[in-house]
Amino acid sequence: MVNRNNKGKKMPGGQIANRQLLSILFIMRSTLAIAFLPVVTTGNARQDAWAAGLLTGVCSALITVAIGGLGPKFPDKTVVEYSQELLGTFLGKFVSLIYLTVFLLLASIDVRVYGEVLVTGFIPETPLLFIISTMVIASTYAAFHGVEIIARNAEFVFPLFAGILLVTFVAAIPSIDIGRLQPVLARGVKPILIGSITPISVVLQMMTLPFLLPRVREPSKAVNTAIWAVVLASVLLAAGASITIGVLGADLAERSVFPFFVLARAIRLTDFLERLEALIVFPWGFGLFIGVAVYIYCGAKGLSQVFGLKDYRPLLPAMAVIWIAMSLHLATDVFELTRFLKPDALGPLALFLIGIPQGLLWLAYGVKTLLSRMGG
Amino acid sequence: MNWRRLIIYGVTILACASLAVGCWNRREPENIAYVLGLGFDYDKKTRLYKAYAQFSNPKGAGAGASNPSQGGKGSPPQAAWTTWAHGTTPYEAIFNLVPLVSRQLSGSHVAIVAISEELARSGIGPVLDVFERERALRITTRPVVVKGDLENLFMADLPLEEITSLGISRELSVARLQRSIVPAKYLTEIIDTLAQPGKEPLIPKIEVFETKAQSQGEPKEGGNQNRNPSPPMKLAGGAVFRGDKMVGWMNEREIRGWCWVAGRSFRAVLSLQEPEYESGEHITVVIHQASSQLKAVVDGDDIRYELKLLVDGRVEDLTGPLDLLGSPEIIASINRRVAAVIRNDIEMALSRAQALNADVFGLGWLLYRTRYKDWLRVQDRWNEVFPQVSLKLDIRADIRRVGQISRTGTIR
Repeated sequence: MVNRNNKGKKMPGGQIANRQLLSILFIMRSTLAIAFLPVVTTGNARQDAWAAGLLTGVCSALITVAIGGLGPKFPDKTVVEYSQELLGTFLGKFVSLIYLTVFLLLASIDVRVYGEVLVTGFIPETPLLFIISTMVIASTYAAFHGVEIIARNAEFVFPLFAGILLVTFVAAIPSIDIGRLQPVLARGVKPILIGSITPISVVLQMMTLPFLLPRVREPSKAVNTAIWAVVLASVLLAAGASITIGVLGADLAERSVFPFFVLARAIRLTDFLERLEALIVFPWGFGLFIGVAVYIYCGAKGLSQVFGLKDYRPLLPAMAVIWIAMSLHLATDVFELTRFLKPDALGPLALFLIGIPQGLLWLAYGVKTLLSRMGG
Repeated sequence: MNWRRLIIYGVTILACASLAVGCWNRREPENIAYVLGLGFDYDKKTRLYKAYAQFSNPKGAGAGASNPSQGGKGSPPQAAWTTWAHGTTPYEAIFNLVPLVSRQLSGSHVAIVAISEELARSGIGPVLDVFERERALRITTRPVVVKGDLENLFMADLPLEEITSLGISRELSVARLQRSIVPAKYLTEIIDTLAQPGKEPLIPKIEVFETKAQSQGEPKEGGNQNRNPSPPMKLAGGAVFRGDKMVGWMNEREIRGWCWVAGRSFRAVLSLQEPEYESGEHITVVIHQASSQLKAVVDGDDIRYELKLLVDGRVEDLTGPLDLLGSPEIIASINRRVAAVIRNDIEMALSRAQALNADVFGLGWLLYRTRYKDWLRVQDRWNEVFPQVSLKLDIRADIRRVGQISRTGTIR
């Protein structure tokens, strides 16, 4: 098979199938959703959280198109390369750096939330540093071996991930009281809109797409795949929110720092089938591993291209250290972390981080196309 | 495989392994004492919580139930051990047990939480908070409100059980399979009910008998004295709450009425007069299936409720001879009588709830769920509306089977 990265360097390369891309993006998008069920905890949607989940699906799909849409037009290039082509060296590098900042931010949030759950629910005395660093180091190791390895891992984890979530959902069904999901959409649209801001903001994750795209076997279909991943993850989010509220009630679900985890603890099918929460953390840890590996791969890859390095791998150890530190210093405590994830904090930030680069890129692309047409 | 790769692999595997273990400091099983039942009492004067903890006793494990009144030498150790401590919060009270217990406390296997009447009346919120917040305790614990002394409850030797707490938990799970007289619930449901508008919690009631009075007085229902101990407690009825504060009790019959409305009745045993006899002879009907449909009807300012209840039952006992298969009129008459008994149950339950002004049926909640706009009009004065609401009953009872014989045997 021809290596699309036709520089001919001995880089860990290879290609990933669309199916693998779907696994990666779905897992990335779901881990954060599972972690704190943003539609339930961040807004005031309460029993209508499922609607916020579906709205998230629609909006995120649109944003995904905006983020990924330019990729297939430059099938061999990452966003670092084509942004410089479109915007010139300086502005292009600026845009690329925004992308890299996003990865750093998202990976730190992801790992931090994971660490907080473990510390809150399972191992209260274990230092956060230990949990975070083991996760980042393992992910760095995966990134070291290239995107193909990460993709194969994702493909392996995907059925595990989806299967265990499904088991949890099914096990929770007998405890659901439909009454807890009523009244349906009685309080108008506003709570639903606010409830969907945070999960939509997290679509920042899709900014990895322009980095993965040159590696995908059929770049033209990659955006479609990404949309599928986003929509599926949103359906999962909506289903998870409904089930959690059906079992715990809107109030406890909203008050919970990590509602999905509380849900798993509340499942009690019989006197012997209970205590399923470890089952949740297990695939989630795997999912997080995939997510962080992708972020660190894209981050290192992007950074190496911005500075014109031949190989991204020497950057990895240094980046891992920075990411561990960033994750620890992201928030001093769980209060700050939750505040950071509220719509009024994350929403504007995401708007800025998505809006500026996409605005610039599409504007430049539009102008360029127009000029070439006029010229031609 | 060269050395460098081997080292990289080794380090990675170790890193992954340590992540999987996740154990920072050792918690050895032999250092842990598992709490199986927690109890909370509250003293209004000192404003202290008193926590009771019943531990499984490794020394007594497998020893079987032994008689507490013969605690002398030679008798095997108890399977459970109970102790208590005070504290300004429920959590502190639990951890004030530490100096009294030789092992590390673990709350991960708590099966029941017993709440004293005093605590229930002054508010169970603080106890719920511990169960929601704490890492090891679970909201799938079963709550009970205890009438009588908590100490007696945990010290009680349930005749068929090794450990009282587990016995009570077991009784809670099987009681509803036999008769609908206990509103068995997990804490999850109580927590949710408190948060829902227009719905108040109902928690099962345990009545603890005074042990001394019992052994001296005449034997109550079922046995006395040491060789055949009297039942130390009774699980029936429920504690009615308004908010997180208890306001009164509901008796067995009222709970049965609540079960019909709430769709909670699994199996109910009804006794009624036989239609062909003017007095004295009775018939027992077991209801094994009930489906209820509750609807709110709003007509201007008038809020009514309509309950449609379909029950299926079978005859289990007759005290006077009656040929049930002989005439359809008799069955029709029995059906009407069953419906009348159920109607009385429900009316008793409703009038009790209205007298206590505690909407345990969730009638307001139903309004909130199905007629949100109407609920908004009354939500602030629901405590004035609820005592006045009327419930229209449409009960249809069907006796479908008569057991293994069709008529009473003839005595010649």
